[in-house]
Amino acid sequence: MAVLQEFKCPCCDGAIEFDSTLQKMKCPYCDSEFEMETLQAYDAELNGQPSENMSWDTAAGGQWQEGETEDLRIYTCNTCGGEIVADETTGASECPFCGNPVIMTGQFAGALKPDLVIPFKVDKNAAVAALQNHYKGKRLLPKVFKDENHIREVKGLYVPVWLFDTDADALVRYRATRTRSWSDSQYNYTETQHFSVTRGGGIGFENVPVDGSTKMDDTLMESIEPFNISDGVDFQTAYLSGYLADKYDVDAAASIERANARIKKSTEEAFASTVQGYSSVVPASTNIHLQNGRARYALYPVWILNTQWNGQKFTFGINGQTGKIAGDLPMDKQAFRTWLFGVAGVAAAAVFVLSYLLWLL
Amino acid sequence: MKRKCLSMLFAVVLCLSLAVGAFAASGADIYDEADLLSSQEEIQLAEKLSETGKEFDAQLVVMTVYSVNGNPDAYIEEIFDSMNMGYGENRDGVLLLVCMQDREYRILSNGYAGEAIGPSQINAIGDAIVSDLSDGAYADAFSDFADQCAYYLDGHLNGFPFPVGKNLIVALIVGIAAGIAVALVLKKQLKSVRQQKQANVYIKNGSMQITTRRDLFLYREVSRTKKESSKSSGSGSSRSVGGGKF
Repeated sequence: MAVLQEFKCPCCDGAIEFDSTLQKMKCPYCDSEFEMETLQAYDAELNGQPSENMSWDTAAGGQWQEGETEDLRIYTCNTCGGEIVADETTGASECPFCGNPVIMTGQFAGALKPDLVIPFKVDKNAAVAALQNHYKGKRLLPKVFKDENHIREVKGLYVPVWLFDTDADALVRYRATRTRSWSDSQYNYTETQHFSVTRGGGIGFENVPVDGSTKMDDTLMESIEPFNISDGVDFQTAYLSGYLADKYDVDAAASIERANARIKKSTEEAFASTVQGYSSVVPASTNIHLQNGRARYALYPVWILNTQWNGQKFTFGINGQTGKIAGDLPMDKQAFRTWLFGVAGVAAAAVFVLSYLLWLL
Repeated sequence: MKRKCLSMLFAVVLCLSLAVGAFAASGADIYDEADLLSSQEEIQLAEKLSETGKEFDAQLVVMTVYSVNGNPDAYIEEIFDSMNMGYGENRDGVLLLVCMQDREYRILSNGYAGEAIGPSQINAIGDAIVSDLSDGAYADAFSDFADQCAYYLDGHLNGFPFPVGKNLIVALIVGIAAGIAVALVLKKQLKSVRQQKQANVYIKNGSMQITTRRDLFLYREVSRTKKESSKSSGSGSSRSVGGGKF
């Protein structure tokens, strides 16, 4: 008499039953067979996973001292709505995001005081050189774009960034396989062994940055990472002199999601590196519990250049600390075709001649 | 009496010469027992086979029969050997056998012709003539057979001509693939804005501690695929036999 048990098949997730003749658990859908102990252990793995908790203390930023913001002015762009901060002596005439004129709308007030700032290390000339270097060797870049550019208008901008520190307690379950092959006189055999592999433990992250400005493209900011936080210093308004600063308009709480995604992915990968001896390892479920999570508010130095070409907007960002540059460039379609067909023609001719020479031998 | 003797002698000589003539005409290169060819076609074909055969020192023979007793592969070998076909010491030659009852054809190559026309060449010759055989255009099929044999024998003796078409197609495919690859690499150079998926650079040094390690075996799957059987034919011997239905 077969006894029904409430277990799911690890192979196909179907309800699995005890087969009294085999004295084993057998899935009626995919015919996989399991030892009872295996299924119990697997079931315990599934049910034993704690619920995910990725909450943070997001009380970042400080309060301004009295009189500290006296010299700071706020400028608003009428075209794109960007709000930037500059000190009295620097002033601001053009929006760094869209290049249109900005007007001073008043004294800087409110918002939080950054916890730290990484001062500019790369000067304007180095930034201009980095941009020119960025154009070099790009065969498909339209010539007009190179000629028309107004590289000199690169602007130094402090970008608001939320930095997240946390200790993650994670329990990650992977589906892993091990394969081996052999053959006899008639057949080739491949055996795939399936495993449920669990790794649990702790891992710490510090200063995971998330862009706090909607005007600044998040992906562009991530492309010029990493910034070296050890150069960070306590914020003083004096650092703003000669540069513009963007006000954060995405708060820490709203930025967490992005930090969590990156932390989760890194944790899965870091733990997966301890799963060895398998031919494939795929994360099946990840449970992360974050502790001591805290956020800080920082200003990161970025040289930024905005330019228009053929009605499209192109933005380049240069890491003001390391000089790393990122910014997608437009493509000359005619040059693309020329290269495509040119290389195809030359390669085809070369292969044909080569095949003839080989034939002559 | 003398006259009678002379006339008898003449008759004997005539018979002998006719017999030898008949043997030379039908016995050499063509045996149309299934009567598939007109006499005109037979003469033209015999001439072509003989000329081609002499040019390459390999006898080309076409034989048509109503039926073979048993296995056509065995039959064609038996015929080739018993009739002592082929030129020279090594009996260089190619025999095409067409059997009407089973609608089967077989090609046997022997001696140096066996090296020049191996199993794959026999298949190629078969492909070239099978549609004509099916359509009943036997004279065309046999003429093509002679041309194909000439092509492979000539190629074996003097080298094949450079296969322009095949190499051109390969060159074009490689060229276009190279063009696309280069153009895409150049296009990729223009893109430098990418999302970071991980936060690996922000992991605190030495902060990772693994406290739970469980590796649980679940189940195994075994799949099997039948091995490709690799038959090697024509192992060193200079004789190949092949064919098919038409």
